[in-house]
Amino acid sequence: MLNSRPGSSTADLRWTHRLAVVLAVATLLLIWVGAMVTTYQAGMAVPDWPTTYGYNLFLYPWKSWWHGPFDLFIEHGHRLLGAAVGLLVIGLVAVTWRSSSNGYLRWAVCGALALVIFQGLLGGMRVLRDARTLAMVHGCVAPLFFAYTIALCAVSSAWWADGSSLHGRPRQDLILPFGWAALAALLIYVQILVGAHVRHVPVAAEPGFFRAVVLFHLTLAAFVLLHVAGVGYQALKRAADRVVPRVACILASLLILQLVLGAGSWVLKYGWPMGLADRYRWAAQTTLVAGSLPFALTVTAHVTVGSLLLGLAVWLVLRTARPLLVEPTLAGEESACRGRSSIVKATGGWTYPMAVCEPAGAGQ
Amino acid sequence: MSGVGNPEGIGSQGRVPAPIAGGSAEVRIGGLGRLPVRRFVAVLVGIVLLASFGCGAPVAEFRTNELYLIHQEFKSEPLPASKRRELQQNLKDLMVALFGTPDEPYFPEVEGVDIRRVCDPVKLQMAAGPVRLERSGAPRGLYREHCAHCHGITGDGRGPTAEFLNPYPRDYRRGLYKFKSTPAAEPPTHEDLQRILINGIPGTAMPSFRLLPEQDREALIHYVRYLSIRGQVERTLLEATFQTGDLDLTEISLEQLKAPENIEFVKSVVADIVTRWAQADYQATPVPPPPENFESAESIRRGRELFYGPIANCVKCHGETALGDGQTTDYDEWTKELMPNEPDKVARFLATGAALPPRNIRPRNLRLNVFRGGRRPVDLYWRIRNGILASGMPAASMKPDDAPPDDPRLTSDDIWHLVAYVRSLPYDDLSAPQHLPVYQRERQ
Repeated sequence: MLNSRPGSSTADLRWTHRLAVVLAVATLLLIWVGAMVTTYQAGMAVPDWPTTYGYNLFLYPWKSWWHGPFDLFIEHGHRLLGAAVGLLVIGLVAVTWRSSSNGYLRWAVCGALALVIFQGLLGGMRVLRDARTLAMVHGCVAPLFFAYTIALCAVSSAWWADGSSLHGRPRQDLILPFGWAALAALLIYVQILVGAHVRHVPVAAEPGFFRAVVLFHLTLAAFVLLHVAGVGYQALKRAADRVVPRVACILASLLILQLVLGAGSWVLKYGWPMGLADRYRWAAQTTLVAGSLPFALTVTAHVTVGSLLLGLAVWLVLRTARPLLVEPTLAGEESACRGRSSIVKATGGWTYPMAVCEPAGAGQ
Repeated sequence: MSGVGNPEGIGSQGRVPAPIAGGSAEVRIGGLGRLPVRRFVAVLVGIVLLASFGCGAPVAEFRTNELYLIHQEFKSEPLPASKRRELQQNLKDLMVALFGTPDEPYFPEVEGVDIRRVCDPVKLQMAAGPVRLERSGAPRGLYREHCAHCHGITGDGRGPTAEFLNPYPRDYRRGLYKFKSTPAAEPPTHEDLQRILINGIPGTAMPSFRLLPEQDREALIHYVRYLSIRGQVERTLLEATFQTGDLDLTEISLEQLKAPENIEFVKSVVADIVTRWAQADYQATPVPPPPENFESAESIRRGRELFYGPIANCVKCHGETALGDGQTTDYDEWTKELMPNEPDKVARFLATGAALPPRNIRPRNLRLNVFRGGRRPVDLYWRIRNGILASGMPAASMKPDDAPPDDPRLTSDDIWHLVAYVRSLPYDDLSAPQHLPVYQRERQ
């Protein structure tokens, strides 16, 4: 049976995909601004929620916002951008439900809506209860939401629908890159959670608590580095298509950048470690400046790149998982195929145009 | 072409797919079963729990000076557990009555002292409490925003990040400050604290707050003074219990403290300390003008003689080479309270979490051209003239005006010559031989 129920083609999903990409970019920007709010400790710059000093969020006088204190500027800006992301998600839901009959995708975008509402409520509760713990949870859900938007970009893309990455590899070769990518995503997210504890350490915490989370963060960073190197190796050796190794290389490069940003954040916040300032003139001459732009940009970039790493890892997971969603026998047979065409498979309302075999010599 | 309403399941390319030879065209989608709503919610809850693990946000409250309490016990005798608890509770109650809490600080009135010059209640409010912004745009919680992570809520130098920092953040509770213009035992002037906040301390984690608005820095200065005064009062009350017996806090509850003689004693303790801080601004050591030959070759030569001589004896700690490699086994005043040469006592301090592991104080490497308290000649003059009591650097032994001419002690001109020599050291060949071109090194 081919397709007894209506499904979605790549053409249907074109606007869903475009909106998902815009949503992912906006979310990353939102994370950057949110990280800036934390860097400048401006989370309580506006003491009420969902209103801003009694005004409706969208009706707060723009002059007061633009020319007000910097804390107010970034906190209210964060709220406006958050609202814009919320509206984008609503738009995404509307477009998807209108143009696609794909049940999974429809509910997947509803999941994004639920997640963004949850995230907004967390942000609001953080303000209303003036709870720094909630600020940290809010900061931990943000990368998760970003990864979710990346996943939406992936499953609404042409390559997902096309399944062109199927051919050329036996199934057992496809499992390893997927497994490594999945573990990378998990490790990166755990690292983000630990990093949030470093960043949001309560002022009344004991030094032992901070020492524990910092050492855990550093150890995990080493593990992530080694693991991502492994992901690159697996991708180069076994990936079903050429895009996966490229993205794995970007992931590794970003990770190195992330390590540099992490070290930079530490030095700009706490000075040179390991007694360097007692031995070297360049270290001894360093005077830190509270609230300086280099510090704010470095630490904010560290937070943002962390989310970006998670997003890329999730993308790799889906890209490497895509061939595995095909029946093993089919994949084995397709490995012997030359050329591509489409077959359509509808399962649960989702139509999958797959790479299929054409008879040898066809088209020649 | 749209797939909606396409009963034949035509793909995006608009072609009818050909069946795979020998196989079914149907493909099973692994892992995508029923809608995973429950799993989704479970994952979210898990994330929230994981994210909040270990961060029950401890309450921001002033800690009792456990370090000094243990120190006093070592000096006299350990208290029975019940008396110890009584003492801790009474001391805590008394301190709250006198100085309030981190969220609601209070500063006691002292006769004859304008407390607005020492600890202005308005500025204290700006610096105290959690970080937020008033409707008027006025900031609140500046201390927690900028200082508490290192210096701690109580100002005990035991904020969460303290253990990673070298040197450890300053413990304000003794009222001791290193870089100041007043004589060793006196509190710093307002200007001294202002200078440190603006310039920061190079080579340490203490940043410059020059980007902060001036009123914010002022609020921080007043709050730091508040923590120092609070800490000094607490220490004096512990001494009164253990040493002088003026006020036995193991016996007297807050109610009994209302007895006139007890109130008078507490008032006098507070008044003494606050008065010293109020007068600090007038205690700055006067700086005479440098001699005419200051920083000339002759001045530097004289400074060198004094550096290695028996009176100034700088060489003892800063070393023959001035690299800070002379005396390196000493401890600063804060660490000495841990009795660092007695390991079992140190272990007791560390076990209670009242202190960080002791570290030796390192004399400054004078060839780095970095002077933490400022590199202006006047800064160095004050350092040498007054010493840095807290770090073990003694004040210069000064010749009185009426001393005979052959008195070997130092004059203010001598101090200036020492300043000249110290300032010349970074440019000495020994300081940067690696920067010389190769041919010059060979010639030498």
